[in-house]
This record gives sequence, C-alpha cells and structure tokens, in this order.
Amino acid sequence: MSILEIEDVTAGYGMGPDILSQVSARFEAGLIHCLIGPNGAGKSTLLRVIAGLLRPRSGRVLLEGKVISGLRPDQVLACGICLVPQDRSLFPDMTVRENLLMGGYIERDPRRVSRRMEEVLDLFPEIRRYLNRRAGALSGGEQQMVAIARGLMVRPRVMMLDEPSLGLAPLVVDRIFEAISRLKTMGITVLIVEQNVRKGLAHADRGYVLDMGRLCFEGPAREVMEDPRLQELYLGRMALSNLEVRK
Amino acid sequence: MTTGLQTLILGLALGGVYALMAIGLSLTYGVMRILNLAHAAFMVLGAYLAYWALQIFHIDPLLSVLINGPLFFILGVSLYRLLFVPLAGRPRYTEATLLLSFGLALGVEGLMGTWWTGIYRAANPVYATRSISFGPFYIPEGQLYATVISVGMLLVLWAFLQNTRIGRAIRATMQNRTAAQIVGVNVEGISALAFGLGMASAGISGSLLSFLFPFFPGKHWQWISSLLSLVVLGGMGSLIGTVVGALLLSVASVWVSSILGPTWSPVTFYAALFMVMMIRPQGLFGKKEA
Ligand SMILES: Nc1ncnc2c1ncn2[C@@H]1O[C@H](COP(=O)(O)OP(=O)(O)OP(=O)(O)O)[C@@H](O)[C@H]1O
Ligand SMILES: [Mg+2]
Repeated sequence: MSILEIEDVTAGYGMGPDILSQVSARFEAGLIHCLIGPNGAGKSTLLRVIAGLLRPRSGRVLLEGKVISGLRPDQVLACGICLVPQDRSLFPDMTVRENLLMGGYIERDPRRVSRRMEEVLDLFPEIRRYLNRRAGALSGGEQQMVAIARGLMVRPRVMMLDEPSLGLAPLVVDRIFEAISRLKTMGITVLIVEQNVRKGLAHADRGYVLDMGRLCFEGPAREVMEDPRLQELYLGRMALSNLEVRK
Repeated sequence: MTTGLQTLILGLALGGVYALMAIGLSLTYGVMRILNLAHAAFMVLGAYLAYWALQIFHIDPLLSVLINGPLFFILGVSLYRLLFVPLAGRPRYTEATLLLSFGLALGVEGLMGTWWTGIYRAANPVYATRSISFGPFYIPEGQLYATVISVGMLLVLWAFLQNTRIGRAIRATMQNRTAAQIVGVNVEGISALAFGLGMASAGISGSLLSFLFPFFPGKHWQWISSLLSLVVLGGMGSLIGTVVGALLLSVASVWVSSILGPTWSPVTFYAALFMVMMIRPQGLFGKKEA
C-alpha cells in the first residue's frame, strides 16, 4: 500500500520558473526509496514541498489518502513526516542533547520527550559520548547521525534524508547507510536523495530518477540501476565518478 | 586606585541598564533579522508613562515596571502581527522592516510631541537625588535600584531562554530559522513572542530611564544610536555579546567622562565601535556571515 503520494506537483521559488513540473510518484509503506538525479534536478525542492516548507503551485501531496500539501511544516511533522535536510540544519550553538530536545519540540510533555530521547540513544548509542558537546563542533558524520536521531524524536512514519552521505568519508558513509537500514527495520518509510547513485540504489528497494524537474522513470532499485537511460542521463551531465566506482 | 574602582562601579551600574535596554533590540534582530529602529522611541514612551504614573497616580517608577512590561509586551505582539507579518516572505523584507521601524520611530516621536510637548522631563522619586556610600565609594541610589532591576530582568530572561521549551525554541530560531521550522517550531508565533519580549524590555527600561536621565520626545535618536553601537560591538544576534558590549561601553564612557568631561562620553561609543570594527568586523561575539 502506498503511504505517501505525490500528484502532479508543480513548484518553484518566489516569482521564478517552475523547478518541478507535474511530478507524480508513490512511496510504499516500510520501504526505502532512493531519489536520484543530476545537480539542480529539483530533488531537494521535492522534499521541501513534501515537508511543507514550500507550497506547490499546483498538485497535491497525500499521506495515506489525506491531503497534506498546504499544511504548515509543524503540522506536516505532526502527521509523521520528518526531513533531514541537505545541510543537516542542526542548531550549532546548542549541545547535542538540546538538539535532540528540539527534535521533540512538538511533544509538549517533557517526560515523554525524555523517554523518547532514551529510546533514540539506545538506537544510536554512539551519540551518548558527545551528548554535551556543541553540535557545531562535531564532525560531519557525527552531525549526520545527530540529525537523523533528532528526526527520530517524533517517531516519524516517513523519514526523508537529503544527501545524507554528502561530504563524508567512505567509511562514515557506510555507517550512515547502516543506520538507514536500521530505520527500515523499525518500520519507518524512508525517502533518501543520493548523489552516490550506486550506493543509494544498492541500499534501496525502489529508485526514482528526477531530471530537470520531471520524473523520468522509476522502478525496483535493481532495475533502475541497470537501466540504460540512467547511464545516458549521467554521461556528460555530471562527474562520472559515481558510476566509475563499478569498474 | 579608588577613583578607578569608583569609575568601574558607576560604569557597571550604568551598563546593567544599558544591557536591558539593548537586549530587546538584539533579541528582535536575532530571531527575525528586524532591526527595530523604534526601540528607543518606545523606551522614551515608557519613560513618559512612568513619569505620568508618578505625577498623577503616585506610582513609583520602580513599580511601573510591572505595568510597562506587560503593556509593552502586548503592544509589541500586536504591532508585529499588524504591521510586520504582512511583510513576511516579501522580497526585500529586511529593507522593508527597517523603513517600517523608522516610520514607527517618527510616529511615536510625533505622538509624544503632540501630547506632552518637547520640554525636558524627569521623574523625581525621593531616591533620585540620594546616594549611598560605602567606605570611600558611592553609588546614586536610583542607579543602584535600576541596575538591580535590570540585572534581575536579564537573569529571568536568561533562565527562560535556557530552561524552557519555548525559550529553547527562541534560541533555535535565532540559530537556524529553517531548522527550527523543520523540527516543528511555528516560527511566526515565536517571532511575535520575541518582538513582544523586545518591546517589554523597552517599556521596562523606559520606567528606569524616567528617573535616571532627563528625556524629551526627540531624545530617542541619541539612545538608539548608542544602543545600536553596543549591539554591533557585541556582535549582531548574540545576546551575551550585547550584555558584554553594554558593560564595556558604559565603563569606557564613564571613564572618558571622568577624564575629559561628560560631553565626550557619547563619543566613546563610536570610537570603541570603530576600533572593534577595524579589528573584528563581526563584533566581539558575532559569527562571520557565511
Ligand atoms: N531557495 C531557492 N530560491 C530560488 N531558487 C532555488 C532555491 N533553492 C533551489 N533553487 C533552484 O531550484 C533548482 C533545483 O534545486 P534543488 O536544490 O531542488 O536541486 P537538487 O536536485 O537538490 O540539486 P543538488 O543535487 O545540487 O542538491 C536549482 O536550479 C536551484 O537554483
Ligand atoms: Mg539537493
């Protein structure tokens, strides 16, 4: 059953041109979905629309059949959709603990927040070590872990991660993907945007290819990976490095 | 040595009040990047209200703090919702809010001039002319009370920002507005709250100002320029920076005034500001703009 549905979404910024044109897609409950596409294709924009940070010009976003486009970001979050944005968006001058507390902001009952924090820390025990450090002082990988943990504070049903491996060393990237697999075992529907096409698709159940604001094709991750259109899209468009890894 | 310490005492006492005056300006800027040029005009309005409360109802200015605080808070929230919210999301938001607050300053000044004329006023509670001495030192009694209240208010604000859910949301919004939205903070609500708190600080410091310094409607221009210089010195958007900036500059200005005479004391602000800008453009506690 599809949990999240995007219907003919067209969106853009301010008075600017359409960044997304008539994008439609379905995301299935409990699976990992990987959204790929060249730089500037509109991947982050799509996540922003779903999160309620950007209102679509037309089209709708539905969560389990209920329209959520048009809701404020805090309302979308309350519906169970959380976003870990491309820049991680931690609060740099707050401690990791405070960042996690902020993750539970929409929960008013402080006891439930602290119980939730314990659960999250059990899932990511490595975070305990730097609970009292300033978030801005952490390494990129640690920051990404905290960002994911902060998102988990609301027990989301859908978690969107925008380029979680950006700027991280390969070993750290593996840790992040391992954490993403843990999300799946928790029953969370995952939507990741990934520049590292091979790695992203290898960890995903389904793949979606976005180019110039349009959804070109989609399918089971394995098929998308083999699809000749994928290589066509990337050849000459962006650095080949991601695909070269194969050889 | 004694004169040095005496200067320090007077400077710090003054600095506590400056810090309270400026903290609202800094908070409003930090949360929504609005530089409220009308901040000092509202301070002077608060001073008038305290003045008339004393004249007519015999309410001590130290007590009118309790009236001005909530009154200006409500005024601030309403003004924000009425005037600033419609500008939100518009291109050139920062410029528009700057002009709007400039217009507000002129409007408030005009109203005060119409109602209360341009003559100098100063509230005269009994303690305004008394001093307390301890050993070789002294401190004007009014100054002491004003400082105690200011520091108390700053501590309450600090505890609120540090230990409550809403206070944490205010700090979060100051650090990263989008991130605050992502974790579900209603940033417009937080902005209205921050504007209200900023205005409350103006109203409260207005009560204190009423018996510390003589005032008239146009006096706010001088105040706003001093307050802006100490906010910039501390680092725009840093609350700690604002407090430190206020203490440093007031000690410096009292010191300069004791050597060169009081006419030179306002210049201290700009001289110190200029020096800091040369060495550390982002201010003492500010972050480099990305
Ligand atoms: N805040 C904004 N205001 C105006 N235009 C924007 C804004 N954010 C993104 N854009 C534009 O929208 C287009 C798509 O951007 P988006 O960030 O969605 O791409 P992306 O697929 O995530 O790219 P990347 O892989 O580089 O992250 C780009 O042309 C970008 O310049
Ligand atoms: Mg992106």
